[in-house]
Amino acid sequence: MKATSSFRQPEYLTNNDVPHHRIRCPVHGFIRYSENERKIIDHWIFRRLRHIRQLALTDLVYPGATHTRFEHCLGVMELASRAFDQLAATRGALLEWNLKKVAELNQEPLAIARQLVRLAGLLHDVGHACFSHAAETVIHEGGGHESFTFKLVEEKEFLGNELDKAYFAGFSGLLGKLLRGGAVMPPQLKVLKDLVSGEMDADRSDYLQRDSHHCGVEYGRFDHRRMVQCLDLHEADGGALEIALHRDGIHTFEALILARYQMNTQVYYHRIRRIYDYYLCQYFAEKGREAFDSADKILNQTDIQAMATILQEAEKGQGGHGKWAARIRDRNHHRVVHETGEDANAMDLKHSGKLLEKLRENFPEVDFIPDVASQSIHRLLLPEDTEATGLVALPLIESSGESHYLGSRSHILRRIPRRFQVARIFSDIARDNAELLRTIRSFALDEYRKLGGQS
Amino acid sequence: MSLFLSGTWEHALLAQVVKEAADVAQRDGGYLGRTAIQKIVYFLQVLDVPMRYRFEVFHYGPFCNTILGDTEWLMADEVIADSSPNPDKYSKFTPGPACEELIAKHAAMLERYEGTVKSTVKALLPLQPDHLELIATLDYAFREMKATLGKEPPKQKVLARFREFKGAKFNDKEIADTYDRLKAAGLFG
Repeated sequence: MKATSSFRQPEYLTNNDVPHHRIRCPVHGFIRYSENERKIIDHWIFRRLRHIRQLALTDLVYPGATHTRFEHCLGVMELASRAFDQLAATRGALLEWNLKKVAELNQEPLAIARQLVRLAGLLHDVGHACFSHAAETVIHEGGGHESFTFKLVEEKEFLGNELDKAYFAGFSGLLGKLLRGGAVMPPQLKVLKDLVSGEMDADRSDYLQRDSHHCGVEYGRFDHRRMVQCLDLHEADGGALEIALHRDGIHTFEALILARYQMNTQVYYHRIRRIYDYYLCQYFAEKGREAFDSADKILNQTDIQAMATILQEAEKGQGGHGKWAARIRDRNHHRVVHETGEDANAMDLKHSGKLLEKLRENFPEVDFIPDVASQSIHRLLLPEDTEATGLVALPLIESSGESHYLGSRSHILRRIPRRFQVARIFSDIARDNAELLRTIRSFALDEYRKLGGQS
Repeated sequence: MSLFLSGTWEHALLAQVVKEAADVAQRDGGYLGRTAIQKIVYFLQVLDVPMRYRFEVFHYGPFCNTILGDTEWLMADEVIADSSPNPDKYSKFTPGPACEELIAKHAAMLERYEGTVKSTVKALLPLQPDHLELIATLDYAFREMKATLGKEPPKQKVLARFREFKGAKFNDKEIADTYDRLKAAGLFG
């Protein structure tokens, strides 16, 4: 008897979707793309990402970190496509059945889905303003760069029209739903969304490796090719599909989580990087909201333009935003006088707040800046959890077809904190005043212990 | 007081919700617990208040893990307090000594959404946590089905999706009646 094949290889939607073009990526090798995708890649709204650095002023710590959002977005498109193709090859029939339930995907579900995944990867960060995340809370008041991404993708006057012309009427709306997720996204698209941004997604897989490559560190490397090969689908209760991992991929998945933890501690939340993020925020905040109060103003500022202005304003001297500009130009930063452990809890934050008050009382001539760096590392359900709300029971599939949740089979994941969180206090002490720096650090350590904190 | 946390827009929004809830509770009773704050913020997002919170359906309906973490931060920074006599069992969030300081940092933007925050808190705070869970999950199911079908979904499809989320926790009549009331109130626009 002949077995029924699950293999599917999606057709291209049109001749303009055949990947004729290619570009060399330092991490993934050649990335191929189509004529329709070229129109988006060359569109001025996307092109501006060539001039927005992935890691803002991290080059002040790791000089190689001058890479851009442009190459990251191409990388995410490539990795998301590889993951989709793997699922189509091994579980295509199931994926097709699931996607057909969405009105817009009823005809050619896999071909449209593949194009959606590629474009979601390509455009997931298109809303980033200058210096990426660093000054985001000041520049994108309210919804952050993600809300701006949705606007750029969905609205006709930005990329909406181009997307609808290249693919079909309504494509931009569908892509917007996929990027937004939650209640506005058909639940059948969740598997596609998770390929781009989920627990083992293309976004993280790309930025961890790319940022490692450019920073010259090894922390972010893991065997992503193995992970893609081990991707699977699982039918949850009620018939919904979810991304799963074959048992053989458990160690590379653990390596991904460890990479995430170490990149956060060593690169993304490095103390010097954090203080320059603060300067950028202060610089833009003091310039005033009017510099970024419209979509056009946000789109017309790249790192290059903003940095040229920062250098000019640093020349003008102290006072107002000029003083922050001068600090950035001169790499003249505040120094850490207090730092909690990397898994600070609410009590540690509270003690750090009290310490800040004491420092200000005792050293009124010194400027102190508080900072809390916090990032989720994973949200996987573990056996010791008594409450599953907010956690993900990522399915792990055995060769027999039996499934467990991944957290129940990984001893390593149970040892990695779910959240990286550190509170710091910086002080403005000149480089040549080592004595004062020592005095304040010693005072801070003693006071923090008296408050009940553990350094 | 001096705030230790950066005081993002989302932190200020939570502080404003807690402050508003304290006013409503004083007039009309009720309290702002862990379920209520999640559902109120969920509906604020439905009503187009900008925020970076992302909701998914879990056991108690639409839920955002980040809100849970942020309330802990706000308590550590004394922006809000948990005045519950039994905080292990339930929370009762009230404004803390640093609440006004954080609100003042985002006064202009909070003013823009003041009416929406006031009316949402006023409408939802008196409801029991179970009822909040029911209406928020129904709303979520409606929006998901609308996105799937590309048009307004039939009532039965929404109720079936609700059942997938909630199993037998609520009875059929209760769900159907609540659906009708939400529709009549224009929430499923």
